[in-house]
Amino acid sequence: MKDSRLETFLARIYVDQTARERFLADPRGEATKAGLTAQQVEDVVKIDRDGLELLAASLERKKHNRR
Amino acid sequence: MNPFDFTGPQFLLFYIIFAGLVLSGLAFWRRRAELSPSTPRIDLSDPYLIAFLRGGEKEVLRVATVTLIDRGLLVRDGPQIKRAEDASPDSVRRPIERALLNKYARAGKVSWMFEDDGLSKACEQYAVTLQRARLIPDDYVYRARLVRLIIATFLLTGVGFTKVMIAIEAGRTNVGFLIVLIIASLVIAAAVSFPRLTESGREMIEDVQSLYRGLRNRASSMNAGGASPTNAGGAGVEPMMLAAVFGMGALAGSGSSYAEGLFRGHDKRRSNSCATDGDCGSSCSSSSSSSCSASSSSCSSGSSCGGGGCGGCGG
Amino acid sequence: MAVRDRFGLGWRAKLALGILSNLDRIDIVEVIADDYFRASHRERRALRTLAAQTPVTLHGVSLGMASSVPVDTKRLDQIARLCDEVEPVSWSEHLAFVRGGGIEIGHLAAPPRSAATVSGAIANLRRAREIVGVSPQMENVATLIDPPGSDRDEATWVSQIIRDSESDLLLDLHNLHANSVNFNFDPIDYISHIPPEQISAIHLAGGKWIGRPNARRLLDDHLHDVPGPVYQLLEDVGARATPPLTVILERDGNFPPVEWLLEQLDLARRAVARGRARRSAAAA
Repeated sequence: MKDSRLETFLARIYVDQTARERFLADPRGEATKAGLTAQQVEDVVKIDRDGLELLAASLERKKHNRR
Repeated sequence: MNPFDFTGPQFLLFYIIFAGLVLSGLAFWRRRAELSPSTPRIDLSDPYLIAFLRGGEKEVLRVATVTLIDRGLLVRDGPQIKRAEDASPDSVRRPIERALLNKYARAGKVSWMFEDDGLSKACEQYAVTLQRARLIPDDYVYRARLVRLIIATFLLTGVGFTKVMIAIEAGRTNVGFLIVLIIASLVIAAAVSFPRLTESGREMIEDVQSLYRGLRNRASSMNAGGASPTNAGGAGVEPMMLAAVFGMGALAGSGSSYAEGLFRGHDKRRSNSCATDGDCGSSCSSSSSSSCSASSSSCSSGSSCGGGGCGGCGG
Repeated sequence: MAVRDRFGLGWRAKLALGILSNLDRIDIVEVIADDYFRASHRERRALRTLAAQTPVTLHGVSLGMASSVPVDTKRLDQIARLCDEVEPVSWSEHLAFVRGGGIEIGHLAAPPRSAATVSGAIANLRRAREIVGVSPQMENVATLIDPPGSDRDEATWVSQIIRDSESDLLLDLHNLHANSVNFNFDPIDYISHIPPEQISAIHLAGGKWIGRPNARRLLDDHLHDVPGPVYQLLEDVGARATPPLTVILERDGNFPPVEWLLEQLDLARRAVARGRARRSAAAA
């Protein structure tokens, strides 16, 4: 359950711009609110922000191409 | 309840239902018998073979003519066509192309090609190949069809004319409509029994149209010229294959859009992509991009219509 | 059963004529399975006709096998039905997660590399084997982000799943190359982690650099030619992996003439041949 929460959290910040912006503004707060474990919170606080930005842009492009 | 005791209108209704069942059974029986247990293997890259499958000899001639015109080996001269000055039959590989260049060494009407025995002979190889693959009927299939038709005829005429005789013996002469129904059902039985393709052939042309539906979507970007008989599958071959698979009408909007008009009126058969003696079960919509089963996969970006790929595996 | 290495292309509608015109140079074709899950009976039958002309392998993109969440059995049923109809020589999927909490990511994302996703992937592979009847080859994915929540490196994570599930790896060499340059690890070391007899298929593709000058990443977009380092990796795999290998060149757009793609396939053949020669020399 705890592991699936992390995947859910990641899915949300990957595809949802609002969720991602809230996370980037307060990573610890958002991760804690999402019910992640202490270790998971620490891991996402240190998230690869460049990669996150690029991934989100890539996913947005793909979504646009599909339409 | 004996149907032969029915009144006239009752028996007409009964006969319509009876004939419907016989004809449905006939069609079902033929389709089942002519479906190969395994999928046949033919050269799906040979536009002339595909054209023959879709529309017979005349389609091969149409596709070959347009191909040769696009390559500059035949030229249009008003309502006629003729071999280009610097063209030689030796410059082409395929017998049908060579035969066309020979036929039109001097200017001639387009319609002549449909009456020429030499051109007909050049198409024979395609018939042989497709018969071997059981996609068009051979003698064995024709005999089987005839047997089924005879059985259906026996049933349809037996039941129908028995009632006619009973009616006449009872002094009734208003049997005309029943006779018309009997004749109509026999005509339909013949049509149902002898389509140009076997059931496997009908399915094969549908499958080919499905596999090549990407060509239809690109028709407007295809240029005339450069159409080559080589097997490279490159850009030059695309108009040929488009015409072979979908008919001259599919070339509208392409660089070979003159094609449909070239044959209009010269041959009584429609050059519509679905003109296959009424057995075109494919329906052109199966090859339109709008009917593609757009994937609902979350991950196949741009892959509506079976083939956009996964757009990069991750990242 | 194939005993020689096979080389093929991904089936794309735009490449249909090029592929069907060159079956003498193409040993196998890979079809995206998800494009046919909701296809009409006719379109699925057409796939069967394709499979009669050339061997076909099915490639799924939406199961999300490498997740701590059990894979949806309805989706496995879909692939099972398609496999029954088409009778492919194999099928494959990805070591990725594609959804979470009802949110569809829309692409193949690298999951956290943890014990949970290892055991989740192994359980999902077992389920897939039960329902479909045969295990899929599992493909490593490219990622632009180092997934948070990871407690082991990618080579360790992939090899654990492959070894413990007894499934084969579909080693995407451009994904490996991209990840190795993006996250600074040695791809040869990665390959050495995988049991050679469990590498049964290879994907080749190309990509491009994206991002700001100080934060560039190599994106695997399938829109570019296969770069040189990937052919070098292919040779190395050829030297290690037990035959036969199935090598698929993936191209999803920006299509060059088909002859160009066939030449890339020939480069792949030569790379594998060089690798096999090294393997034979080493064994002698």
